[in-house]
Amino acid sequence: MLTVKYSKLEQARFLSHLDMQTILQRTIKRAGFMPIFTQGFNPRPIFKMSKPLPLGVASKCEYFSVDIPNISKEAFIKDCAGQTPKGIEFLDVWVTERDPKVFNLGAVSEYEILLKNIKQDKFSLVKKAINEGFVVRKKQKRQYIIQDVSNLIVDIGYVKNKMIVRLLSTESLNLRINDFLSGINTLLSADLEISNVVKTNQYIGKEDISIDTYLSKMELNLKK
Amino acid sequence: MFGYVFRKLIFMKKLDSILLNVENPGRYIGGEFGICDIKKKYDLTFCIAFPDVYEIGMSNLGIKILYNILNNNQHILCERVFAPWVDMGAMLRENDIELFSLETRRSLRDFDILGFSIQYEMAYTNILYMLELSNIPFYAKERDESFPLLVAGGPCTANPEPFAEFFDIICIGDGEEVSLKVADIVRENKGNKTKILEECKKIEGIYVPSLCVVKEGVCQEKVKKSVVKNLDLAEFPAKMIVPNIKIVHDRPVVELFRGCYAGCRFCQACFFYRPIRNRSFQTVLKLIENLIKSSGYEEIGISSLSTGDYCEISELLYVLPKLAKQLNIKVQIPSLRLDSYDASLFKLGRSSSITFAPEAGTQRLRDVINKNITDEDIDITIKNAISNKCRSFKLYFMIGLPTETDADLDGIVEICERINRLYVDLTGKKNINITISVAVFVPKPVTPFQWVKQIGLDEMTYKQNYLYQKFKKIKNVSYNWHDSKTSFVEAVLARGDRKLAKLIEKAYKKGAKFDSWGDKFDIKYWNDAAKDMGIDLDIYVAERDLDAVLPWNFIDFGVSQKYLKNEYIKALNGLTTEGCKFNCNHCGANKLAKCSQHIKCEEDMRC
Ligand code: SF4
Ligand code: SF4
Repeated sequence: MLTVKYSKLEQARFLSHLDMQTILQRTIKRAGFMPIFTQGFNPRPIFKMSKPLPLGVASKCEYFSVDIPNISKEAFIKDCAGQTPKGIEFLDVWVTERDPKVFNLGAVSEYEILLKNIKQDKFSLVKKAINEGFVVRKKQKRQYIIQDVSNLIVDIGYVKNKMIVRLLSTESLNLRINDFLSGINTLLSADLEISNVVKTNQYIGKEDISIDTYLSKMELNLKK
Repeated sequence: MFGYVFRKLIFMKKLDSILLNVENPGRYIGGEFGICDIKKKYDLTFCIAFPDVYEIGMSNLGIKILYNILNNNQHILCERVFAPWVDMGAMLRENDIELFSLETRRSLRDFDILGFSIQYEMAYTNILYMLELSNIPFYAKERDESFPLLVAGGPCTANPEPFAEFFDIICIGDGEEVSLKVADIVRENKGNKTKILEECKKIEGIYVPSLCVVKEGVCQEKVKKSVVKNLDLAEFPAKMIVPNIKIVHDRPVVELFRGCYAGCRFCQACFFYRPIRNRSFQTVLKLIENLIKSSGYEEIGISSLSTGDYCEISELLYVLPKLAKQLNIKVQIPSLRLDSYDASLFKLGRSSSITFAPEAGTQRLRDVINKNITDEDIDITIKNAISNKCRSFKLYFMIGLPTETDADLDGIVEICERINRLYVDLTGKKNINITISVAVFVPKPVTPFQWVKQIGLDEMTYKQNYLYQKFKKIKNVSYNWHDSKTSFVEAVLARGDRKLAKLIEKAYKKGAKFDSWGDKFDIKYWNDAAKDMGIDLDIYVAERDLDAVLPWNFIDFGVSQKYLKNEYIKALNGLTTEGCKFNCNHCGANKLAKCSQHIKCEEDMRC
């Protein structure tokens, strides 16, 4: 199985998850690689993606896996260069024996939020709120609910005009970046927009093991 | 420089928040694989404008061909723009942003040439919508050199008069060669609109409305349609833009031939695109292979008005399945005429449904419209399809055709009943789906029916209800019909004259736009506009005298008026004309360029 890390930046942020699936599959075919297809009446390429990214959010750490026989990593990266639409770039590749199940891997997502006009001292307010109870208004089953989501915030920091935040993003415990941002806007009376956000990393748990590290380990096992 | 960068940043910022609040933002972002090189050096900017949404515009083969040709020219940077959906249009206005191109986000106003591809009459108001969003005055006479040169092209130029006053020049016929000639003239004479217009007027296929004398509403000049003489030599993109979002016809397409042999008497495309010019089988295969490899698509379409009539169809059908298997792709083949239907065409598509267009329910009426297919042809096609595991049938018909009676409507119902019976007989099952789509006949310029009246709105409703009552009793049939009021306005615009520019403008100002979208169309805008102008729209749909001078008579389409008249008279007498694939019917089109079978004929030394 081949797993690819890619970025989704600039205007590509506005492409839906479903559109991305088609775009990525066509990119691979254009580069001259033929994925293995499922059997049956309507064969489809064996192709899996990490969790959908909210529309408008840029990311430097999205993943997909595809089954391509006898593939060389180097050839894949080289041949795919220049085949992607603007804003999408293949960053790294791993070849593993097992399917890493990328959809479930990203248990924690890290975001960088550009804080225009918000000084560092205000940031302490955020920290305090997270300790004491950080409330957001979020949509759940077609209704808006008010919820304390402090337990879904793994970590938060401030570096050079940017807020770095790690949010839980598992199937059952998940804080969407849009909801987090609206909570911050309410708290600080700010107008931060989704276009100020970049997803920078994904981790497999609360520990510091990134998906990249995890995939490298899997790849190493294959070599051994 | 600083000011420019700052403005651009503000623009991008605004655009970001707009895109988060509109339906399907992927329509407006550009950056698709295969777009032009925006960093190239150029000295002329050209924007191809399509007056409908991205998903429809990007499905159009013509604009892909032109985009490719123009960008292959070292001097030209060619970009695209599509009509923004109403939500985006409102946002642009609210944020004081002019409509911009997809590639460089340049305001349309800042292009040297703005070329509209006009495919259907119901898009006319969208042209004004796009101009207004760009702060470009509607009428050519109101625009000086500081505005782009406005060019129109596409099949609606079969009668350009209703929109003639909006455009500086109108390109009638094939655009491949003419567009480059126009671009050259504009490049060499920038800032001198008078000279540009005078020079453009000399090009074959170019109509300059402002330089034509108009008497009693009719242009007095002669303009000859432009044609690409040899399709094999014409540039066809080996690489096409691959849209980032799903579009209506989401596949690359290779055109097999231009024009149509059949000569159905209601069909504008048939006569407008004549003479018939073939692309050779070898070229087609090469293009298919190139397009699949360069696009990454999983299917390809081969297109032409009547695919089964392609001169080298048997060779193509022999090789295509192998190629499809080798490339692991599906091949989509539209526009089957029943008599040309072949089981192998069906197998290629790997689909369980079939679409075809008998157009009329009885042999008598099919003879009138020259749809040369018989009930037997229909039965053979259906049997073939059923034996290829097809269980979904889509059939297109028209109502309001000349000489039509209730018996012809009954014929439509009978065809459906027959398909139902055949299916049960052959499969023993009842799991069939039949979809019947019924349009209202719109008499179009450059057809033998260009003189015919369109039936009135009451009669349309009567016929639609008549069918509805019958179909409601038949199982497995879903019956759809086109909105009659839309067909009425379409007929008005199709055969209109120069006076209609004001009507289009008034209707637009009252709220008409996206008229081809059922939920957006409202006839009230058009009726109110006509009332304001004191014109009677019924005159435009009424029968025309055979000797009347029609607004488009100043254009030489190749096909002669005499031929069209003769065909009309034959129609009224129920006489058919055989298609011209094997014997030329001398329609006149070959004076513009040789029809492919003439060339073949000469090669065979049989002429
Ligand atoms: S087959 Fe008839 S309807 Fe179809 S394109 Fe040819 S002339 Fe037109
Ligand atoms: S000139 Fe003859 S062959 Fe050519 S389109 Fe006309 S009738 Fe057909």
